[in-house]
Amino acid sequence: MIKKIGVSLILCVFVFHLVITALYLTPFNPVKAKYSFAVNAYMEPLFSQNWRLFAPNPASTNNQFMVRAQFADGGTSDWLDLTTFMIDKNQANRFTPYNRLVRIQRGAFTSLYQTDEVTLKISQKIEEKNLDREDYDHLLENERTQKKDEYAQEALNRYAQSYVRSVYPEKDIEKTQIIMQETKAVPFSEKDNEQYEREQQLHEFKWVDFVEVSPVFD
Amino acid sequence: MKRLYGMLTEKKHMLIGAGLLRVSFGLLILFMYFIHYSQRRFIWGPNGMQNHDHLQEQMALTSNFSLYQLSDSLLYFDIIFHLGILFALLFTLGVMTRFTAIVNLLFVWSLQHANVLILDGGDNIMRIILLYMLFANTSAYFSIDRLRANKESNAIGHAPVWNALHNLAILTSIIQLCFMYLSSGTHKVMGEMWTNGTALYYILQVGEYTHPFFQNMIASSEILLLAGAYSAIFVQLSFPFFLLNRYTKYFAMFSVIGLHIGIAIVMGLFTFSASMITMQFLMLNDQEYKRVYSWIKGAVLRVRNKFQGAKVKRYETKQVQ
Repeated sequence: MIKKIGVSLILCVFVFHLVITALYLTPFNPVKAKYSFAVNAYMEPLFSQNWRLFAPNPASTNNQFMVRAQFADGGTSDWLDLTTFMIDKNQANRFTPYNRLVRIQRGAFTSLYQTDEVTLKISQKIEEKNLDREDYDHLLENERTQKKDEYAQEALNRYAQSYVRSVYPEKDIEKTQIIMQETKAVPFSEKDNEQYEREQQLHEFKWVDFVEVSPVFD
Repeated sequence: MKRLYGMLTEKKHMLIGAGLLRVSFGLLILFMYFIHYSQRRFIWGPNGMQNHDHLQEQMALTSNFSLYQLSDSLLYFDIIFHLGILFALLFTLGVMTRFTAIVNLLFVWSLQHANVLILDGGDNIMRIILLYMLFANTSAYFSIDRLRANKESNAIGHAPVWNALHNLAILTSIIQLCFMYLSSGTHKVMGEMWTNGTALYYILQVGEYTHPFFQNMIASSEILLLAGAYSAIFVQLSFPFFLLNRYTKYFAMFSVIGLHIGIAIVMGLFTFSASMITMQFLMLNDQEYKRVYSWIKGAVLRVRNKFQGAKVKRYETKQVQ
């Protein structure tokens, strides 16, 4: 009898867990809108998961990060490419540390612009209806997303600084600055047009003080 | 109803698959530790990509915990990192598995959350399955525990509650995998690039997810692009339903393994694919594994016999000379 009760209890937990997991994983819908707070509270962080994997819209832009350094003697370095050599090394051999290291830049940059589903919906509505973004700032920005942006930028800067140090091991570096050149994909309709010029956009980041970070390349 | 209850409580199912899963997840974890050994301080360390204070803040903000947040000393970091390796090794070998499984998960969890930027879906599923598998017996095969138990005694627990817990942990893992493919497939159907068959064309333009050789080959053929996008959607959405039938199950396994091999080779996401393929160890039951084993044994024996036969013949010709 006690054994049967034990088994029934386990079964209840099993069913409950699966129902909540299923709800957590569905695309945005009315039930989720209503209960997402409770569902997320149960699922995160222990069971947090995301299987959107290249969907609904896969990544299609190339982000090239570059960094330059300002030295104590007043000079400024050239732009150093942080991205291309990583991609080349990863393509040359998949079984190296670069296979994961290559993700740092995209991971951090996506995290800068990534947001939860509800915020995303609000943001889309503002775009659709041409509303003034500033009126809704309190809905769009919260401590969590703001902090996340801060951490992502920090990770990018620190990665860049670690690289700068490996290029100039002896120099006295004061500040660094990152820029990112975003190159849009060639649209499918222009696939065979060799003259097509890919759309480009430059993101300029702020100068930040140099920090001595554990080296990434020994 | 009674039959279902019996299936759930009379014995533990899928013990071989659970053992294989433990060993291969263990090896993947060890691979993660070792391939990044020389960059460990940069990736996860207190003065690495992330400032230590910010790691603490972030963990507090998301009600999360990582062993790496406890101290900002480099020595502490190195101790935790190496203990992590040790427990991953013990887990892989199956030493005191009930205990090492918990500790190993704590270390893997801590490592993953000390830097989330380099993770992929494979790390995510591994983390969740390792958690479910705490409730399962993963050391009945391929483990030191098993060898030791054989020496001492052969007592196998028959407690119905433990059997149910084990079986439901395995079932939860399988259903979790089904949910994953359903979720992934559904979100693909929602995306225009996937339904109009150009998704691969776009993904293959992204440096991190491509290789020039495959980009040229696949992007130049509309048929390959379409087949690639649609088969990815179809394989993912159909996986749970094909599992329901004894024969289509093999097709489901075959097709997701194919999908992940494709992703590993073309996109270079091999750690992701390795985790996903590892999950397939849970799809075969003990009888099926035993059948596969005896077939392999038979094949080896046949080859050996042939080989030995040949040796004998050569010997005979020598005699004639």
